[in-house]
Parts: sequence; structure tokens; C-alpha cells
Amino acid sequence: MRHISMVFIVMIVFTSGCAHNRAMTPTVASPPPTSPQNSETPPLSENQKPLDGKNDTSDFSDKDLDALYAEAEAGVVHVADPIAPLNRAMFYFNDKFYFWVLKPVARGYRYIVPTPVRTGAKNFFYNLITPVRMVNCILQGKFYSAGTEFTRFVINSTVGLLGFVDPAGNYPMLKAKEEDLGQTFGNYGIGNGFYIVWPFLGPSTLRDTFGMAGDLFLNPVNYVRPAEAALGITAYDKVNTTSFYIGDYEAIKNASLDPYSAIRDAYIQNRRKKTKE
Amino acid sequence: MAHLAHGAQPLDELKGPIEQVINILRDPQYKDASKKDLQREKMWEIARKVFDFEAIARGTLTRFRWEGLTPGQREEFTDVFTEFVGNNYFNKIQGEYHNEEVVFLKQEMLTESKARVMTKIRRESIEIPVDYSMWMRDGRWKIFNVYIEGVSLLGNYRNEFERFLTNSSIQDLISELKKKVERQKKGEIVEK
Repeated sequence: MRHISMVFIVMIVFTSGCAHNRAMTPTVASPPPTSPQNSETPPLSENQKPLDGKNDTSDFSDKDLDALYAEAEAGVVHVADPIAPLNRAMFYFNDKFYFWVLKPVARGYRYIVPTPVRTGAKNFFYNLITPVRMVNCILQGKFYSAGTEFTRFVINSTVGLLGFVDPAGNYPMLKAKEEDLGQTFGNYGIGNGFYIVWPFLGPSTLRDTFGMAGDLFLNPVNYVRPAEAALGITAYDKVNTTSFYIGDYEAIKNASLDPYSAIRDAYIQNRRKKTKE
Repeated sequence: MAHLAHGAQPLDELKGPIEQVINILRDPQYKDASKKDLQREKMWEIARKVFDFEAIARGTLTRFRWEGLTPGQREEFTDVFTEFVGNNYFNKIQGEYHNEEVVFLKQEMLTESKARVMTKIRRESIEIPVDYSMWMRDGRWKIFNVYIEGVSLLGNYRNEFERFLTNSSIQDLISELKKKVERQKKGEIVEK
């Protein structure tokens, strides 16, 4: 029993912090090309040259068209998905978990708890995982940003009443730097590996999974004992975060033909952007 | 409302329409359920001016695919895709508007007729970065791509449609999108 609860805790703890953003979006350098059998992303026919552009009726100039196609191609992602059937099953599970459990709970919570309180809780958890961001800034050689994180932490933990208020947020130069170990690995040139959907945690990749596991050591919630308390705290954080994003996941689903693939591609694009920053 | 090419800044040409849409969303005269269609119509009017739907639809297909379409298919695809994307967006903002605000951060000129405008949506205490790629066409700045949290709208649909077209025809894609639009109109929310 205890063992099972620990596994659950590890899963839930993974979710905190980045999980929500991840659910909607997030990674990096294209992985090595994979055979179509292994990848759900089919090879695109980018290099197939148009036979002729004469039957074109619209008024796009060649320059416009080049710009348009370059823009679209910049957003094309390839990620290996060798365990797609398993990932789809996990996606289905997370989807049901969202609609049957998380969303109703978060919606009720949102109805009862006023925005300032939810915001305070959000700020508190965000401040609490400063070590994750700061250490990863250092690992990436971003010392100035690491200093900013430290300053933010000091201000928000004191004047900001243990982090519930975000006075540092009033200063643009004290903007938080969203770094995590997955991005650090990406920064070192490590590719995504392949796509993984974790139960409760949502989209990830092989690289980001190792990243999440490493970042756990820097998340204070993970050191709360008994473990059941840590689980409760993390679940609360998850519900609180979700209360700000109700409706977004639904919108993404509605906007796609195959939500599983659309969310996978969006995750990879979002992580690529974050790693570049 | 005639915009002259000279001096019109992409950020301003984006800001005007977005603020108009927000005003329409907040306008109490549309509060009644029977006025929602009218409200939607007003928002479409604005969107059509500032979004280059013709370009966005075209960019979701590769150059090669587009060349293979008949003029009729091109038009049909552009129309249904425009309706699909627009309705998704309006369903979302009409369905649950939580006093979101749009903050216009800055514009970057990439060439003299191409720019990127950075904004963020503020909802309660969270912020969602939304960037717009804009170009000058027909004498005004128009949006031809949107990035939400770094995810490119054009790129994501390009991925989806190419994947779909690997095993299916363009007619299948068009009818799939039509089916989706029908469901949107009935107000069905996909929950599975």
C-alpha cells in the first residue's frame, strides 16, 4: 500500500509546476530522423517542387508566398513516437481524468475560492520552486538570470509574505526565467529522444522525463513528510493551477482533427521555444 | 477607415480590431442569448479585415499540395478552413469571457512589409503570450500567422493536414472540416 502511494506521489509531484503548461504545449532540436514506421509524423513533401505556378488565380506575389511557406515550415515538427499506441492509451486516460475529476473539482474550487486567494496560492508554489529555475539558470551559464531568481526569491519570501504576494512582479527587470532541467539538457544539445505521455503528468519526451526526475530533487514539496501530505499539497497545487486554465484544453481539442497528435506537436514546439529562450 | 500604407504601424492596426472585438464582447446589448449570433457576426466582420484567411488557409498546405488542387477545391478549402478556425476562436471567447485583457508589448519589423507583434492575454493572474506575424497586403497590415505560447498556428495545421493527407484525399479533408463546423454550429463540445 505504501509503495503504491509513493508511486502515485511521484507521478503527482511530477505534475506540479510545469504540468499544466505542458498539457497545452511544450521541446527541442529535432531528434534523429526516424523511419515512418516508428514515427507518427509522416515525412512531408516539402522539397517536392511545384510543377508550375501558372494556374494560380490569387494575387500573392512570389515574395509573399515564400514568406508564407517559410513561416509554416518553421512550425513543422518531427518527433519519434515509437510507443504511440501506449501513448494514445495514456492520453485517453489523462483526458478522462481531466473531464471526470480534475475539471469538476477545479471548477467547484474556482467558484468557491476568490481569485486573490487562488493567485496567492499560485504565487506561493511558484516561489517555492525557485531552486529549480535558479539551478537550471546556473547550469546553462545564465548567471544574471540566476541572480534575478535569487533576488525575486528574497523579495517575495519576505516582503511578499512567504511568496503569497509577488511584489517582485512589479519590476520588469525581475522577470522570472522559466528554466528546467529538460531545457538545460536541450541547451547542452541533447535531443528529445522520443515522445512519452505519462499518466497524470501529460506530454513529455525521454529527455524531459529525465529532466523532471532531476528537478524533483529541487522541489521542496518533495521533502514534506509524511509522503501523503506531499501528495495532498501537490494535488492542491494542480487543482489551483487548473482553475486558471479551464476551457483551454477543450479549445485545443476542438481545434484539431486528431487531438493526440496536435497536442504532441504543440508540446514539441513549445519546448523548442522555451529551450531557445 | 481607409488606411494608407504610409505610417500605418502593424501594432496599431492590430490593436484597433482587437479592442473592437473586446468591446463587442463586453457590450451588454449582446448579453441576451438571442443576440449571440449578431454578436458573432460583428466579430467576424472585424476578423475578416485583419486576418488574412486566404493566406492562412493556403499556408496550412504545402506548396506542392496547393498546386494539385483545382480552383474550386482551393476556394472550398479556404472557406471551410476559415469558418473552422474562426468559429473555434469565437466559441472560445464567447463561451467564457473572463474579462481577459490584451496587452500590446511591441512590434518587430522584419522587412518593411513584414512584422511580428508581441502581445499577451491577461486572465486573472496568468499571462498567455500571443505573437502575430503580419504583412502588408491590399494596403493594410494583416495577420498571416499566430503563435500561442510559441506554438505556430500555421505549423500545427500544416502538421495535421499533411498527416491526414498521407492517407486521404483533399475532398476527405474538406468534408472532415465541414463535419467539424457543423458540430461547432450545434454547439457540441468535443469531450472525447
